[in-house]
Amino acid sequence: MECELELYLEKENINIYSFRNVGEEKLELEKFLEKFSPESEYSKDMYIILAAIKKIIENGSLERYFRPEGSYADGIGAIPIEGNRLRLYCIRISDSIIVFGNGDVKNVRRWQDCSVLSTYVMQLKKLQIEISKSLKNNALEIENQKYLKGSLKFNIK
Amino acid sequence: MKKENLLESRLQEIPKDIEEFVSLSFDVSDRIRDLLEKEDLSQKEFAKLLGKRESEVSKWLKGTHNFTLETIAKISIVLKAKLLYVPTSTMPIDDLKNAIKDFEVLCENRTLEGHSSNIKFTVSEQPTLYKKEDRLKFFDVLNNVSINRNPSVMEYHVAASLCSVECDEKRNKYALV
Repeated sequence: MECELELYLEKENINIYSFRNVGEEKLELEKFLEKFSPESEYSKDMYIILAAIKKIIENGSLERYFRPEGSYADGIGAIPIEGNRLRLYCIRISDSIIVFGNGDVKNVRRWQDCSVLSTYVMQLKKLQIEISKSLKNNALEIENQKYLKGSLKFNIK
Repeated sequence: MKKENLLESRLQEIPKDIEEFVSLSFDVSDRIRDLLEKEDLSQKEFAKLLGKRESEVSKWLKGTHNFTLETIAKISIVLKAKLLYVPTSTMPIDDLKNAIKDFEVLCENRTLEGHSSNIKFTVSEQPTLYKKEDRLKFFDVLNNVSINRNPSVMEYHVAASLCSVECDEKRNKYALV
């Protein structure tokens, strides 16, 4: 499957990226944001995630704010960490660049036990591998600490 | 027409109480991290001192943990420092005096009841103590001082009643006593 990264929100301390699967209209982050409306039974959980994003926007995507999903080397994180029925998954590229994917209700102990969450995490893991490769071979570069420049299309089969 | 950024609009929806809770939680986590660094304590050693599992302490330090006052108290003792300052009406005037860097008396009134002064002063930058406080009040047995902060500058306007202000006219200096 092909996907393309897109700069979604530009702020002083951080740039927030998300990605769009080829042929789809919406970014993965947009899909997540639309999933849980203020009327949803998960509205409080959603607001906690949004408030955490607000703090990340203020302080940067510091490593300590994320729970590593899988091994640390994968670079995949989830917010928030506890006391919440929802999870939003992301790739933390640096303190100033973060890529948000999708997320959903977590009613199992491990994301591996839920097919929906597994799909989101696995997709991000593959994307993270491709981004790392591109950064290594200079197909992708980080400019001014928070811009990803170069080819933003990735094949994440 | 520019497409609406859904994240930005949803960030506007966050109820104030939830935003404050998460913000406090992140700030407490950051404060603990700073103190661990200052005390040269590892997360593991810190967990041991608290009698907790390291995995539990690790969760606290990632933000969004709902700290209880009991936990905050225990952490304060272990790290030998305050995590939170609560502005209370009983805060001793000594704390205020310690924070004052410089001040000037704008006007003074002497009445039968005592001496009241309007004082403009600047305080030492104490972001933890005064962060985001628009209005602070300090009382002690003898003094009643109400303070209004001008949010654009680090400057507080104080109306002090029964607060003695000594003036050394020769040196043109004042002291709060």
